Amino acid sequence: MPEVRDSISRTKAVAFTTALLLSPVGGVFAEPYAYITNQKESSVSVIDTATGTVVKAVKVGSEPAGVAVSRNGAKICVTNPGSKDVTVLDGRTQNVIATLSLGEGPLGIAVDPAGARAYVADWYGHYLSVLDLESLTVLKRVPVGHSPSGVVVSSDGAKIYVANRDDDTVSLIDATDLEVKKTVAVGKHPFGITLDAKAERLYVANVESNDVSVVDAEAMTLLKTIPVGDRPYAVALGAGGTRLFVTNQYDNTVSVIAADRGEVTATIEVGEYPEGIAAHPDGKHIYVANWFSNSVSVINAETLQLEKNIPTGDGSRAFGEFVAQAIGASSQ
Amino acid sequence: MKKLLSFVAALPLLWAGLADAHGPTRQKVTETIEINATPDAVWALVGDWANLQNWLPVVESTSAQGGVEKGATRELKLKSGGVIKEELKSYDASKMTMQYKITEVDPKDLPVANYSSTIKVEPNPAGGSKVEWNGAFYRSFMNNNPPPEQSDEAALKAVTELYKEGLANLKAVAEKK
Repeated sequence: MPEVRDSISRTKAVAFTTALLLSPVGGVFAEPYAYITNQKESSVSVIDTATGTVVKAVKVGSEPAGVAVSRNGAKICVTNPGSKDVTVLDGRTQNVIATLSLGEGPLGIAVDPAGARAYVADWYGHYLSVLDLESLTVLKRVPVGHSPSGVVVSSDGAKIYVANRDDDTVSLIDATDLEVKKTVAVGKHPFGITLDAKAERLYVANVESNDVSVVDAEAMTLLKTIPVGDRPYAVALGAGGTRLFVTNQYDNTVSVIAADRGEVTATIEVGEYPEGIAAHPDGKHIYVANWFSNSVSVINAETLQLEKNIPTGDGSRAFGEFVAQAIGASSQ
Repeated sequence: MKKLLSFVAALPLLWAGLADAHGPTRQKVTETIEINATPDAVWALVGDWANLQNWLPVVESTSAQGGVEKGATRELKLKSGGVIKEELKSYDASKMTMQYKITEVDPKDLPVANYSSTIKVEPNPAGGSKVEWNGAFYRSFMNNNPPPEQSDEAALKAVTELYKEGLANLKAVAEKK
């Protein structure tokens, strides 16, 4: 099977499978792609996770940082703080669908489970932009804390969480009325955040205090603070939600935390300046973007071995949920 | 394009006038040099955490504490009169590599912030050694509209020159021995 597939035949394959099988399993005909923003060359490297190779490089806006993939893989949104816009890519063709000027410093981004909205944290504007992905218009700007960075949406789409880096807090926003409901104090300079599948626990990487805050995502109370490596940047849950993986920028490592005990149980060496981190839908692999090494490290979430190193582009950042869950799987 | 236009038409006031704002982004510099001396001989210089003045021209003297353990510190007295404080992040003599960060620096000495660095000595396949020195940092001015001497460009230029001069002198010192 060729590594770079014809996009038309892929589309046909999707339509064919949809029509004949109504299969809910996207994986049988399409492997999820990982989308890596390369800050220094204003591109996105598209990795075919089945072969572990970059199959395409897409030019986007200036200094792309944040990325979010809709759950069905249909749309990929990239924030470009340098050109103050958002690039939307088609998940099947990997072509640019639209470029939207957006605010003063679009950075962190998350897409809701339905793939209908993107939530974009504006680093300089101190608000969360709510983008309608169908009409490509801004529905609302929700004022949040200072220098908002990481964004995550609950799996039912009802709640949005934003880390306010310069306030050392995380805000909870109701997706229905788009108002901030609660705010919790966490560690110093919270950046990347993630949420478990049931929206019970929120995990926050605190860059300045070198720890991870564990937050009760409903009550918005701080449950625990777990020391990790130097300058933790982002977090991802893997191995069925039993393990939390944390990139440590200055240590060139990933800390592994047992979610039930809230303790670091292993530390894995990756590339230099690891930043974005995301789980593969197979539940077995964690992908880490190495900003200095211009590469992606693939970690086995069960054995905790480094399985692969994939060369990408200059300044790989990939801040957000950058691995598609499947192509076409939930659009049927 | 049509979608972009309709968006721009809908929200013209929200972004107009903000086009000048541009915050700092992290920069990176990598410099390498080939040296006609054994890796051991070069690492004896580079890996000497407590004596940076032996090969880095801008340094007058080094005062170090904590050996070569993680968390060890050093204070560099510069020939210009300034002082830079650094902390060792990792030190691996078998791999001939170390990582460190700057904990205190005056922008007039080096216009950077959040600076971390790795230096590494390797055998050169062609003979002798190869040294790679890299750094990741922000400009020292963290808000918008920096003065020219604290811009991204100024930070990049200062670090690039430091590495180039430092490595050139390292080569001269190592090859003289």
